[in-house]
Amino acid sequence: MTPVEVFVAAGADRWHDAQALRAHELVRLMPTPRHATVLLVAGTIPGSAREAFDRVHDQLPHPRAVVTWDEIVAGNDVVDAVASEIVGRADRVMADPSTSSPGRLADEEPNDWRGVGPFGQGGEGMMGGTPYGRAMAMTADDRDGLSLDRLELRLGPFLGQLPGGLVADVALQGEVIQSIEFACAGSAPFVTGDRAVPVARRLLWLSHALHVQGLDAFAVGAARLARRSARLDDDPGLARDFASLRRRMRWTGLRSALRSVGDRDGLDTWARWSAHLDAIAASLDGADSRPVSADGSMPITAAELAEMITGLTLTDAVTTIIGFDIDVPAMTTTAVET
Amino acid sequence: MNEVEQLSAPLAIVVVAAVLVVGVYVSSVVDVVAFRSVAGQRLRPGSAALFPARVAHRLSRQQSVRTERPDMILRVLAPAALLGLAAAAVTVIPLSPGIVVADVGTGIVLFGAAEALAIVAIFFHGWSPNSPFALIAGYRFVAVALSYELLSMFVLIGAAIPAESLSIGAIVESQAGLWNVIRQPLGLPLFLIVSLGVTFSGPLDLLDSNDLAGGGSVEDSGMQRLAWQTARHAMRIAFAACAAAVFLGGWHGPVLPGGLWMALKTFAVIALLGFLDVFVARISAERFVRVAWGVLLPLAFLNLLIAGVGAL
Repeated sequence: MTPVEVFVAAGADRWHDAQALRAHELVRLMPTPRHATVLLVAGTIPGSAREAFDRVHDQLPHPRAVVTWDEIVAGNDVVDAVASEIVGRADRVMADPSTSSPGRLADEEPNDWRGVGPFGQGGEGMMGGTPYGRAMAMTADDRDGLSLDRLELRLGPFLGQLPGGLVADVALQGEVIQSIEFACAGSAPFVTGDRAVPVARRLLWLSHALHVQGLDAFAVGAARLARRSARLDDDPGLARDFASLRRRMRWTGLRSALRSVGDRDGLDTWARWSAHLDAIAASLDGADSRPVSADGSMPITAAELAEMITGLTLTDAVTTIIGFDIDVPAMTTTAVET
Repeated sequence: MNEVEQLSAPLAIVVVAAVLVVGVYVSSVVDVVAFRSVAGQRLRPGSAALFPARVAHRLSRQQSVRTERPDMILRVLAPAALLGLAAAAVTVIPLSPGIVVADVGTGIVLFGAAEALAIVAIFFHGWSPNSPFALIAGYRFVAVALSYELLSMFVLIGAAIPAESLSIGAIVESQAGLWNVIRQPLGLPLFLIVSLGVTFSGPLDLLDSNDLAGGGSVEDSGMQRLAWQTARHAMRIAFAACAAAVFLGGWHGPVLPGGLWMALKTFAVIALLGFLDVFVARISAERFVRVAWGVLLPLAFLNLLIAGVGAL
């Protein structure tokens, strides 16, 4: 049997939980809704994200099905129950495509043609503007004094490579970020320095981070360890198996891929990863779950993070953001309230 | 020197199609085996062998979504062109002693041309769906492509020096006593890096990567996705076969028939590329370009020097 391909539209409160599905052999989490047969809705989708959710839903190709995590009555293992429901729904919709989930949005342009400018798209010449609501690149001066196409995009709240609920408005020239603004109050912490984080959650962070770096098979391994740690308080083999995973990760070239990316206060993304990995190892060895600030990731606000990643390529920016285990619920709650 | 048997046009088409169909299937199975073994998941031989067929069946029943105002000509052309270029590259690689689809005296030039044009096809794939992440991925791919294209040219020329010919058949013949992987030890590793680049795999997965939500394939579904994955695997076959012929002695080997040696060596390279794809983290484009020009290109020059000195 081939795994069912799933895209997760997660609220901040369930995003980490949903990463545990990577451990399941019959389910594969996909980076884009276009690759998925099932849309998994996990956690609370705030009203401000409803339209984005509808767009994500309609991007799944037919036949498609929707599974809602919070509606599943689970026994001991909620991840198994969710996976079983996903497989069952996928089988049913593939057997009878007429049951495919209908579109949520009307099949029409998301915005009217503005009718401004010589070509009607609202920009200048044949560039710029937002024809039919889709931003078109427009030349602008870049940070190096060149004049390059500037493309403005909104990232999130359901972008596979970023934590669920994270929203950012970004201006790109080529792949370089010229400006970025997070949907979050300026003083709201992205990473707080005083959280004691359960080891299962740290392992789920690791699973997602490995996925983003292109190491999906290792991501499965990390998710399996997370599930084991959540099931049993005392699993004597867990520390040994994590050490084994960490040893194999050394051969993947992660260190050279992450070094010198996202430098702040003398720490780069590899240093932050190492701190997370040390904290996991310490927790599995019986030590208390150490606060993040004690292992290298200092408290950081949205504005500081934006300043840090402006001028990076989009790839390095994503790598930097993922390097912090962002306090998504706190951040998105603040964002919704504002 | 073996007499070269030039295949008739219909037979040539059948042979190339058979090589690509079998090769793409085997390469897909290798991906499954590599992923599951590294992930520590159960590996049932029957299940792994049927996996690509099942995926193809599922994708054939899935809707191919049309994005808003795509460049439809290029959207269709991109996988077709990549597949066609892989087929063209395969034609100049001898499959066994004296059997080659197109016995051209400038085989490595034709192979290099197919490799260079593949960049255009791959960029089309990023450009055509009219989608930001796909476009960014396409630009990013092109930005690094020149860096490894140069490597490819130098290592292939290095392999041609001892053969005193640009024909891949002649390069295989020249390895009767000593394979190029021994004679020019830097050649094969550098060529594998090129292979990873053109097939956007492992450390050079800069096209269809997770950090851009699937990058160039972010909008692919159904048959469009199947076609693109097929073309990518076909290009992997072309590079694996070329590596087997140019660096691993092609059909040379004891006991077994030459064609079988060529198939085994090609499979070994496919397996290596498949495991590198799963096992090595993606490197940023900027960092790769720096490494390519600062380290890899000088190594390619050194390889060329070794080849030249060896030929004296």
